[in-house]
Amino acid sequence: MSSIKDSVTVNEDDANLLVLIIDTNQMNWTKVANKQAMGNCLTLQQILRQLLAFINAHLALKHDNEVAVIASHIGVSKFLYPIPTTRQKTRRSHGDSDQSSNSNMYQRFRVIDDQVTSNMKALFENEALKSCPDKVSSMMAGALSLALCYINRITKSDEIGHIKSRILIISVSPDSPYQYISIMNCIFSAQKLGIPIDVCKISESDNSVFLQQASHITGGRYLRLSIDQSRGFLHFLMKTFLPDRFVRRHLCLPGDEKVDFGAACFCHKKTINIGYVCSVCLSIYCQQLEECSTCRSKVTNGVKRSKTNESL
Amino acid sequence: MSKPSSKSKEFFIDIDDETQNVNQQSGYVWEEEYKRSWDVLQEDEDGSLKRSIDHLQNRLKRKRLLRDTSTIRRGIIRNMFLIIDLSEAMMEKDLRPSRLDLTLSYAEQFILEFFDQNPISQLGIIVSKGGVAERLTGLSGNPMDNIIALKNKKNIDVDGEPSLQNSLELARSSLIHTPTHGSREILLIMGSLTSCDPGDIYESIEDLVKDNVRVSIVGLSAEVQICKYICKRTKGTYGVVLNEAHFKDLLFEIIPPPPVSVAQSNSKLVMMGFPSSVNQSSPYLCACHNKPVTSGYTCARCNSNICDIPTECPICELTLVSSPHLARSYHHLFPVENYTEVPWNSATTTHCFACQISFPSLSERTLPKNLETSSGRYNCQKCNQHFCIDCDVFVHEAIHNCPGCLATSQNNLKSLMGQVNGNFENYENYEKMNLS
Amino acid sequence: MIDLKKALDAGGHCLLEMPSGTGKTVSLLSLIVSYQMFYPEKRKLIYCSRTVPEIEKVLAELQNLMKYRKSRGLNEQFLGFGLTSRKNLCVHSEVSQEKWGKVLDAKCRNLTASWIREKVDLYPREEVSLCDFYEQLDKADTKELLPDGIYTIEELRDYGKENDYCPYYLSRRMIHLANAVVYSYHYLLDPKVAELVSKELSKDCIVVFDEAHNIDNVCIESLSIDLTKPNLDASARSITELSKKIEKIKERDKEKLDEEYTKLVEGLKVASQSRDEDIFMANPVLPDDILKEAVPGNIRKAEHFVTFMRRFIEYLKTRMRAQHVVAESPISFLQHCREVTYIERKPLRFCSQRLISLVRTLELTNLDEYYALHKVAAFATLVATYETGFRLILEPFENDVVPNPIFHYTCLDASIAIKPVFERFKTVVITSGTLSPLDMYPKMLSFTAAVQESYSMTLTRNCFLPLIVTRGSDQVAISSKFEVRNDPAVVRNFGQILVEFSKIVPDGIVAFFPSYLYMESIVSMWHDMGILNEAWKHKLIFMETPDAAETSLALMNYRKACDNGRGAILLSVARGKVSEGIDFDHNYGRAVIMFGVPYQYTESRILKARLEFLREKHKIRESDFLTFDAMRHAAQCVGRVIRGKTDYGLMIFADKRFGRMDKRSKLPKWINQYITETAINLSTDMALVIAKKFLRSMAQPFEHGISLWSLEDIESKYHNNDQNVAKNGFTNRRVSLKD
Repeated sequence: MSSIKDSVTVNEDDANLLVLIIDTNQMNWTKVANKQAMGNCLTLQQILRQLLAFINAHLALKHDNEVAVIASHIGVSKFLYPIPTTRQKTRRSHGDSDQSSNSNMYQRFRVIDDQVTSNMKALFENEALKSCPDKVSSMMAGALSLALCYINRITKSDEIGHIKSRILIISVSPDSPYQYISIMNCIFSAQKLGIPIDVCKISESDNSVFLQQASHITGGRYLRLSIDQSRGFLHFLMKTFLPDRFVRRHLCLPGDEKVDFGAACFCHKKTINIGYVCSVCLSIYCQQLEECSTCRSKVTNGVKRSKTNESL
Repeated sequence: MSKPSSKSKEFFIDIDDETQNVNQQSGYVWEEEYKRSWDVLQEDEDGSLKRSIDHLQNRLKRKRLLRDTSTIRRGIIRNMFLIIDLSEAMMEKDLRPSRLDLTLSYAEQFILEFFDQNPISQLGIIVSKGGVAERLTGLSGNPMDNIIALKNKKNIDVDGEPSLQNSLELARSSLIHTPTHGSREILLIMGSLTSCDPGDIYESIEDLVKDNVRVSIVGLSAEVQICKYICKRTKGTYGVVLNEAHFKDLLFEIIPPPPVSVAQSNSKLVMMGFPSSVNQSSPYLCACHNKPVTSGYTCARCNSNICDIPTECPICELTLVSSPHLARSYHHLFPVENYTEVPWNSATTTHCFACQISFPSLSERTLPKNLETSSGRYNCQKCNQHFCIDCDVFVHEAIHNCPGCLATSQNNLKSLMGQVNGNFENYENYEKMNLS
Repeated sequence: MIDLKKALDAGGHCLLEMPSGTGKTVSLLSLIVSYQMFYPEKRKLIYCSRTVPEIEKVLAELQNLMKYRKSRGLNEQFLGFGLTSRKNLCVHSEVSQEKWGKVLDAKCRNLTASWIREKVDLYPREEVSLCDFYEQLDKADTKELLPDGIYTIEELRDYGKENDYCPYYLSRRMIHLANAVVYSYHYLLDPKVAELVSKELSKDCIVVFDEAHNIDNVCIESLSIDLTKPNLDASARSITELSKKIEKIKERDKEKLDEEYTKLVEGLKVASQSRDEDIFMANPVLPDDILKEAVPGNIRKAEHFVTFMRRFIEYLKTRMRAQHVVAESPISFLQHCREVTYIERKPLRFCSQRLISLVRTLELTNLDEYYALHKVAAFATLVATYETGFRLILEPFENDVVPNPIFHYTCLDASIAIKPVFERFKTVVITSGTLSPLDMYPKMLSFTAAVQESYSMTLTRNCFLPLIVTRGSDQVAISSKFEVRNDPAVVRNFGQILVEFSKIVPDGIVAFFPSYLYMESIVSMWHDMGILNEAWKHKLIFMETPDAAETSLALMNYRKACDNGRGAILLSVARGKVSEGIDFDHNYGRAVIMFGVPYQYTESRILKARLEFLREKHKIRESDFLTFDAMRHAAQCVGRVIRGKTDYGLMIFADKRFGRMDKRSKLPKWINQYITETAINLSTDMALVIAKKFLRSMAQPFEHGISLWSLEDIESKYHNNDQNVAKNGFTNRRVSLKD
């Protein structure tokens, strides 16, 4: 789609903000772990470690690069980093012994590592969330909205205009159909602001249609990793998603090119090429109906709809 | 100043005011207003004006935000004519750099934004000068046609006086051929205070009303009675600009789809095609412009080659769209509820839920001279989360989702469903749309 | 309103200045009606207005008011209607077709005079035509004639047509039963008329003069007469007619004349005039000044009277032959008259009376032919009656060139005509939009005002912007002063103002000039300079002329142009018909330009005489009075533009003299409050910038709000037992201001 992609000039010396959205649905991660061949068990913990390394690499590229981490969990989405200081104080007292935190580590890396891990831990331990009914998918729409709001704030408060943002989604869960409209809204606003959304999907066969569209429309990369390939997770991350917006133009990055936007009719769920669209609620049908099932408005037919011959 | 540069299919959105970054969104009415109201600013104990400025800013931002969020039927498929007045009054320099230049640049931005928000609509341009009206472009779904016509220097000479009646008649004659399921609109940018008409304009107005055409007018100099009458009669809006930024605001107010009366909203099932994209190694000619392209689409019905969608197939006149185009308009049908302001006594949160910015604390509650500031917190009724003013504006103008509703609560399904108000019952149809 | 009520209670007179177009009529009416209803004495309301359209408007307001009262549950008997001339009320198929009022009156009299009606009884075989409507009215019972309600003039006519009553006489008969009567000033002030119509009104009626800024002129005119040569010739002819008729009757029916003679000797009032007798031939002096004596000997006999008149007319003709201007007091005139013709003062006083009785005795029809004679008789009576406060001026030439001798008998003192009103009625309210300075009126009209107030407008936003432009863009001071009037630079600057404002003001602009002459000379100079060409590129141009039909055509087209988006400019004169009567609300008047200060023609002798009189009697300086008069007209002109709370407009005073304090202070308060320091000494381009900004900001949508009070506000304000009255008054105002 010829949309308005990078409408803002990106320079080499821009600072970059990477917003990382991690799908932390434990069920799906366990499924992934279980599907692997014996031996190398890729658990969430390992993934996390690789992600932290990736984050550190991103921060190391430029001294004024920034990062934010949002967890898209079952039933909630939350910021993992940065967390405002009042909350952080309570956190710090808890887990800081888990990681191999030595004082030789670059201060910044350590702070981020600590916060992310401790907050994620708190997230998993939160009992209340375990009673959520829908355990299959995660709150991707919520996470995207939070990410966009955060980016909006950072961009507004940056007077020089040098900070450029992008979003990277690590996803294992299937699409939740209830989130279609919300995700599309987020996608369009990201497109308008010129924020590319990169997606790394770890799944054997399914493609997440929503996320594919997301990356295509906003000009990001969509990468699907099979379970086997996910062993080299960090490798793929670095290769595909580390280059920032300026460098990308000069590289040829892996990822899917072709996205098919086939539409499916509401009544039979089959893909169609020609359909009938309700003028009030824009729902698609494959044949003429008496009444639109979505908005319950009567369909009036006798009016000349288009100049062409109807029976083609 | 405006720098039109084009690289193949990419175009810049240029703002005509001082070189400003698109992201910066300044030059709004509220900034202009507070720059002039010296007397409203007061100093606090330390002699700084910052707090009162912030207070004013916030108050004015919110003024523009509250709008009607009921889910009512709206005319999503729109057919609009943009009529531009090219009379000598447009050469006045009271809007910088001149009324005409400003109009043209805003018109470009308007067209782009219009097609962005209403992808399955059509727009045409008519100009009026020397007592006659001519059509620059007919109704088309492609923004580029219109923009190219506007940029063409010889199309935009000024001469004489505009003719209201002629331009309205010309627009009406094209609009009556559009199918009735779409809304018929005219947007008129009028810089002159007089109009040179051949006949009785009241008759033309009655014809417009009969044909269900809605006329909105943006006046650049002062309020003219006949314009007010036209807009009232056809249920459009009439606004007179105060300054450049206000002009932009008035124009962009037309962009969201207008509400449509229930009587008109029996739905019609419009036949549309969803073409698949085609990529070939060797170039072929597209059917719409006769230009060589390598990637494009094929019409679902007649298989002719189209270079870009959304458009009408030039051979079989089938409307060709892709599902994201339809999805763009959904937010008009399901708007986000307005946030309510949180009074100081319930201001318990410390940070904005969405962007983590910190809220003003209780110590900053009052300005000197006992003006009470707002607590800076805005509450979503459904998820009861507090947001800051910037997120409020952003949510309602850009994302059209409430992050709080999407990102919290145990019963997520219900809250999501709750984002859609009662009118639309089988909401789950939507979700199954794109899962092939 | 509070002030009005105070005046009503106290029983004094009051002077109220309220801005135009802000519900002045309805607030007055609502309070007075409530007051009337509240107190058991049922004081009658007499509302005086200037023109028939205004009367109609007032009646319509009254109707709304009563409807509202009814809807609030107050069921009352209330009868109100308007009274105008026969011309507006006649429904007789033939008579109402007449175009001239006097002819119509005469014809009506032909059908309804008492002796004609007697003829029917006496000579049943003769063909006598009567007015059916009048007969029907006569037969009906007075009390049942008109049921309660408010009748506009149209409605009265329709009612009359339906029930076959004559609306004119109906209204005259119902006056004493009505609660509210609306008519024009003349019915109360002009002695010729007032006696017949208003003599039955009791003294506790409430009298309201609306749009009363010109009331002093009205008073003066009602007691002034002008005689021209044609008048005198016509009256001479009438006298010969009369003498012929007398001869005829002497042969036929000597008795009648003898009867009349006897009655005159006995000093009985000659055949007491029935109520319906005519305004046409009434006594021109105030009722108190009519001598209640017997008619003097030398005019008792009809022939003697005729010769007497003939002599007097000859004398007047000789005086008219004078070649220079003569100005003298009535006493010296009478002296001279006596020396030449031996005509004494006393018989002159009885001229009108004698003529009336003669006409009746002779049973003359077609009275319109005797109009000139009546005028001369009235002239004679007036001259002889009043000693001070009047002046006789003979002008042999009109405009110094054309020989057209006119005898002006002018009243100089406005208080003479209105004195009886003030003395008779307890409460008189004088109100208008432009009465500043307020102390001028009590001085001129010789009354003391119990309440004297000037109100400013309560508005949510400044809906008009007065600008005083004192110089053009080239910094040359602009003025309509006589010396610089024809200076090309000044004229060009005026033209510049017109052109530039026509570019920025939408729809209609009204421009006022001080006089027709000035307007024509400026317009022709503008035409030579090409300014008009510039102007009509943006708007069409219309002009007011002394001819009424042309002006109304121009006005109609002006309104059409404003409605269609073409825009128009109307050039008119500050003392003309347009400035007095026509409203330019909303888009018809978005800007008013006063070119120059509208002074009267200062060389006029009449004016000079009046100024002198004012200086001597009331100690009002000439310049003060002239300024007052000019500013009054200017304010009246610019007030045409605002007619309602949503209306807005520009007021531009284009003359450097407006910037001076003495003129500015004479503008009414509601205009003055909006003149800021920055708006006083502007040049054209500065004024344009300010005006542009104003127009843009006025075009934004706005909320109603501040000027409407709720019931609670009012209740909290009032604690005394008049709460009822005030409450009704204010809530009425709220409802009608909503639309």
